[in-house]
Amino acid sequence: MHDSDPNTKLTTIQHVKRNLATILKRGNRAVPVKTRAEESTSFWRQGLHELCKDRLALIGLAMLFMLIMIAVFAPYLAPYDPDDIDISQRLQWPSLDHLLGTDKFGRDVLSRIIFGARLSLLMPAIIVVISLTIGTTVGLLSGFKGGLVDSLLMRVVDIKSSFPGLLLTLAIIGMLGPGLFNAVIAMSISGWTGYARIIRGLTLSLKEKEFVEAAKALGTSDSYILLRHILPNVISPVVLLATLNMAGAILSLAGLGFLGLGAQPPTAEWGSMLSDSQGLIFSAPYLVFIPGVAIMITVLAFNLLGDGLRDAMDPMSGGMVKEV
Amino acid sequence: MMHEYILKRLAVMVPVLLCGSLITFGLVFLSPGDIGEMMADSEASAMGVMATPEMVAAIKEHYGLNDPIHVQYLKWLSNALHGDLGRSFSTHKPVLKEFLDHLGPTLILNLAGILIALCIAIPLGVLSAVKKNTVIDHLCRVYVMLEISMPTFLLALMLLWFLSVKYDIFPLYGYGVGWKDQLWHLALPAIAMGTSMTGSLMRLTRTSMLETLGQGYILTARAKGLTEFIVISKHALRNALNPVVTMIGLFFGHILTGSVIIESIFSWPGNGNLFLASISARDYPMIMGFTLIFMALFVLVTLITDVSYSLVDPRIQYEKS
Repeated sequence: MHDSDPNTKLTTIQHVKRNLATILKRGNRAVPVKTRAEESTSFWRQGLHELCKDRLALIGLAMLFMLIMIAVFAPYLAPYDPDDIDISQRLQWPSLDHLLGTDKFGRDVLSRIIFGARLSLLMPAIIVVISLTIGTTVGLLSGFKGGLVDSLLMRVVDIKSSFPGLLLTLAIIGMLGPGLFNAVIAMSISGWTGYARIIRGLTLSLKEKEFVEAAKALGTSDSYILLRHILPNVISPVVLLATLNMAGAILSLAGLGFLGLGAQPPTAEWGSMLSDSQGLIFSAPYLVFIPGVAIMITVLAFNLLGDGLRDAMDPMSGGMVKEV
Repeated sequence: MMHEYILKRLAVMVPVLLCGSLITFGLVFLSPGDIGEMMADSEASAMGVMATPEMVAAIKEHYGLNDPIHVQYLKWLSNALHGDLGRSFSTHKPVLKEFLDHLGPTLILNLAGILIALCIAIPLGVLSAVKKNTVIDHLCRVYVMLEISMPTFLLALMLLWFLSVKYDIFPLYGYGVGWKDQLWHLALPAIAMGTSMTGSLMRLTRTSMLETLGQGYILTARAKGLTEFIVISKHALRNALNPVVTMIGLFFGHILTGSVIIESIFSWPGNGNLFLASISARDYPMIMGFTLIFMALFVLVTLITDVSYSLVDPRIQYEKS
């Protein structure tokens, strides 16, 4: 989180948007000389190089790595079965036997938190990937085809952006009914327009470039040009944006879980664990705070990493993208 | 110029809201379950009997549920435009009345929340910018990082636990009777809501302020020998507030969705809580009505925010384009 320049602290999205144009310019200049593969590796390699100088971002990265490891190796790390009910051990405060205590059914909270990391990390990632896929498809088609297709798709994007995303998410869940699967669908449908706008903008400027013209002159089909020439050039910055959006997705999904609209008990998911124990705040406040802190640590990891990535990609702070 | 701009924006609202109504209506048709049976069940339970197949058929006939979709949509839209959004399945009251009845508490909570957020975030954001790279600035930024990473519900529950359960300063939940009691009940939800907005608002104020402080006219003001307080408050802050206004507009636009969590934690009798209850009960007329009303409000608030730029910053003119 270091900023040497006053301009570097716009919101994340504004930042990435502002920088995409610069990134693209750099990409275009290089395209005739370098191959696309070299371009995209150097995009990430330079980004990583800048990122390594940022201590806070590295801490975020390390936290994230730990969390992913915990999620992957959950069965080996958890001391108990997360769904193992033992009424005689219910509502035990943290102790040596149960490091984070037990819940109202006597289930070990630490084990549930460890297993909960799986859903709480995977589901937001799925949401971001689905939104990214829809947004990329719409953006590519809109930018490349132009004309009527472009106008129609962009009106859809405009109209969707006129309404708050969370309202639409809630309305969709209201119609489909509560549940983790429905929450994931609702959030994926609500969040793709940002990606579509950016991809469209990038595609528009790319399709006038010589290498696309050349491919067209060679008689290459539209779909081949889109997938092999344009997509690799636009995807890197947008994948970056998607990483930044993970923090928001985790918070929203946990919020839905908390409201009882996402994952349903007895699923081990942090938001619903918290919601399940809300009534016990008098007798067992640790049941409320432990899942809450787990969510906060995860979001913090993504925010620290996101800030670092944004600074690394920032032309103003002398990062990997420089104005020439 | 200004009138033309507003009129143009109002005209654009019409197709946007029409599409919004289409989405809302379409969602019901994509949803599982037979709406006629649900309505019959609701009416029957109001009379204390079980719904019979005859009742279902009669209700379908009465509400035109056997008509083609487009006819049903136009009928629903025309009713909605006349202020009739149907009746709630659970309370059997008109949706619009339910909305208006619960609007007061939601507005009070949000206004108080935003006010608290502004009182904390703007001074701290300015301080953080003015004292850039000092201990104060670092502390402020650590706070911002922690606050934006903290889920609203965790913050609210921590406040509730600390200030109501442990120290018994504020009431646990509810709305209160009489204005003194109500103010007392309002305090904790409003603090929770306000605090949850401070992180992003502080960060924005700091950025905007830093940008403004680097401008030439600030140098001029200082060169004129003005006191630092005048330079900051009159010359810098006023110019730095533009993006902050946008964000406040955004907060207002999210009044319903933003307060769902806080309202549900503190059992606040507002629209957010009601909307949540309707979603859990799959009360379609309420969900449709509320979605439509809040879409309209959101679009309207966005317009008001855009117009208010020129009040904050007279340099911004809306010209014919």
